[in-house]
Amino acid sequence: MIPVTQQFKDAIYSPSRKTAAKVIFDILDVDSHTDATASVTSESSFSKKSQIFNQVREMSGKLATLEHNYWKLDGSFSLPPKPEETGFEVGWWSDALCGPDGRFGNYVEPLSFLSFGSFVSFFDDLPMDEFPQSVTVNFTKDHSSIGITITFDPMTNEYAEEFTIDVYDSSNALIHSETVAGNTLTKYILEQNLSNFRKVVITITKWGTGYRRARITEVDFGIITEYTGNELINLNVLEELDPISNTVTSNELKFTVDNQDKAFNILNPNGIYPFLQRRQKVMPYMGVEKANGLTEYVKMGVYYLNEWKSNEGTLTASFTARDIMDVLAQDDFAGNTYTSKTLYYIAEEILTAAGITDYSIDIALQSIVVTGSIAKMKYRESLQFVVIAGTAVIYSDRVNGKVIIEQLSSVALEETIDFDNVYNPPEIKLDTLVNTIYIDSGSTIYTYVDPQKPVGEQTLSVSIKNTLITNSTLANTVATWILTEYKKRFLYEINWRMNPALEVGNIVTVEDEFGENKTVRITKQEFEYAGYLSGKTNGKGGGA
Amino acid sequence: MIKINGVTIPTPSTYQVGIQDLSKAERNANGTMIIERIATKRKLEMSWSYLSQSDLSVLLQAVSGVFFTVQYPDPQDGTLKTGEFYSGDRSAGAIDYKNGVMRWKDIKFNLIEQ
Repeated sequence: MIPVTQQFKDAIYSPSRKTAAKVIFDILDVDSHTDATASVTSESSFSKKSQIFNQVREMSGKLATLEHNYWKLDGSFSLPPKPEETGFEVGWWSDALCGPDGRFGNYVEPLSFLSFGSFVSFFDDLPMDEFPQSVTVNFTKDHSSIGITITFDPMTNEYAEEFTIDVYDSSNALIHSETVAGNTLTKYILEQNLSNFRKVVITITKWGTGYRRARITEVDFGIITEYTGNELINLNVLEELDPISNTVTSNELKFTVDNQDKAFNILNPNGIYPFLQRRQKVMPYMGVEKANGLTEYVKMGVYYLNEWKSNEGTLTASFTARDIMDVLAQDDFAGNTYTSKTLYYIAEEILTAAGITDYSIDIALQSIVVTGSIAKMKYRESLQFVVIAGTAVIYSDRVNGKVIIEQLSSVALEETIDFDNVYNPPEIKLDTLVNTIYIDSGSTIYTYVDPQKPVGEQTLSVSIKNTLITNSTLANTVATWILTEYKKRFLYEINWRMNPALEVGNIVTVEDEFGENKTVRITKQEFEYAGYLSGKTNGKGGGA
Repeated sequence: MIKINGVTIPTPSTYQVGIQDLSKAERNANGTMIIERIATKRKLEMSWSYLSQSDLSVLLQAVSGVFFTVQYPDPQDGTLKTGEFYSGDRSAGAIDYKNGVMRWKDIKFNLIEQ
């Protein structure tokens, strides 16, 4: 369950509530951040200029430096990390400081109309050794985007006031130049169709506050659009998780936005359509208005754009996006043979081969050693072999889309889906009875029969094939796990108001008409927002 | 008194503001009503007793777009509020036609908040 405030909990189950939704859509060139390298005019010792392309748009905290009137002793600042320290988001900080008026050098022009007398005082006051601070971004191939977004320093609300953005093609010809003056935004968005660029130079001539280093947290090649309120027509989030990993699915996001300006129309030469790319990042949020009038949002995951179309008749545009598990289903893992390797090692190998760097693997998989093989197959299928052998599940987390491999907790939350929040009593069906598990390792078939199977009861079996389960001990462990899950035969379907803080895999109590109020593991959630939130939750539980 | 896209329109003879709560109400499994509040919108009902051809043209031009910005006196807090509106059907009755110029009466339409 996503942590939320008590006010959120009160509001989400209030008899009268106002829910909200928004979608943050990164309309960026998807390869540009991995292809970009930066060179800078100067860099402080703690600066990490490579981080300006890592798609993290906020520093780890306010960094305490000795710039004039900057470091407030209110406990909100922390010392900058040492160069060798990792795990801190810093971005680029220039070594040079601007003058008292925020200017970085470039004082040549005013000299022409200064009298000799003032000329002397001019030199006394201004740091002539410091020049405009610039970041030059080079690419190895052409990129196109609908603009450029520069995030300065939202943590301290500081920004460049005057700067230029020059965009060049592969022959170093200037294809666009933007001069910005009077900026007061920590996130500046240049909305301009930029096609086939190879180099971008951002030159900061004036900072918003005097005696400061220039700093940039992130440069995005494209724009980050937020759809909310009137612009967002509807939003649908589908989450699924099979507790025995018999199927590994990707979660899906569908949303529709207002397209009256025809920005998403295919033939609009000034529109966004040419810059839409598969795998652009989309992040949906759902929230509720709290008693204080503020809306608290819950992030509903990180999704990657899959399909899009403009709906001519209704002046809307619709989008479908799926999470990282769908990306893992696109390409093949070459396969490998393992001798006495932990499942943790194998999972890490597959994820690394798939290019996934953001993942978390349950340390329990470090103590499960296997000897077996995985044939050439999709990354997602190969990871399915690992998680079944490890009695675990795999999914993409809500917060940052990280791939999580973990053994599910069997602890129920103190959370009840009660009759106050459901439109009808839950529909409950009984799942198929299973009393025998067959595990095919490729060379051996291990059979596990439920010890509680009554004598003479018909064999009702489930078979799985897994070439990593090659010894009877592991086969028994996996079979016991599968059978235990199959014994939770009560299948729930609940049509209710929904709570966005609940996640698939959570165990909650579900009120029923007979006072049984069983605990149920959520296996599927479909959130539907169309001005208000509703949806459907499916779960499995109840015991034998 | 009322501006549409920044242009002051003739002062209406009647002006009525409707405050409309949009919500979805449904009974829960206990039989109690639960309400999903969506939004609160304004509906401005206006009419003009008499308008010259030129005033009427200004008025109808102002509401000819699909959506437009309206600045209007709001009864809830007594201030001028601004919102995006669209227009319902417009109607105008003729008084007479003299020297090639029409004069108009009983002009009315509603503006509904987007």
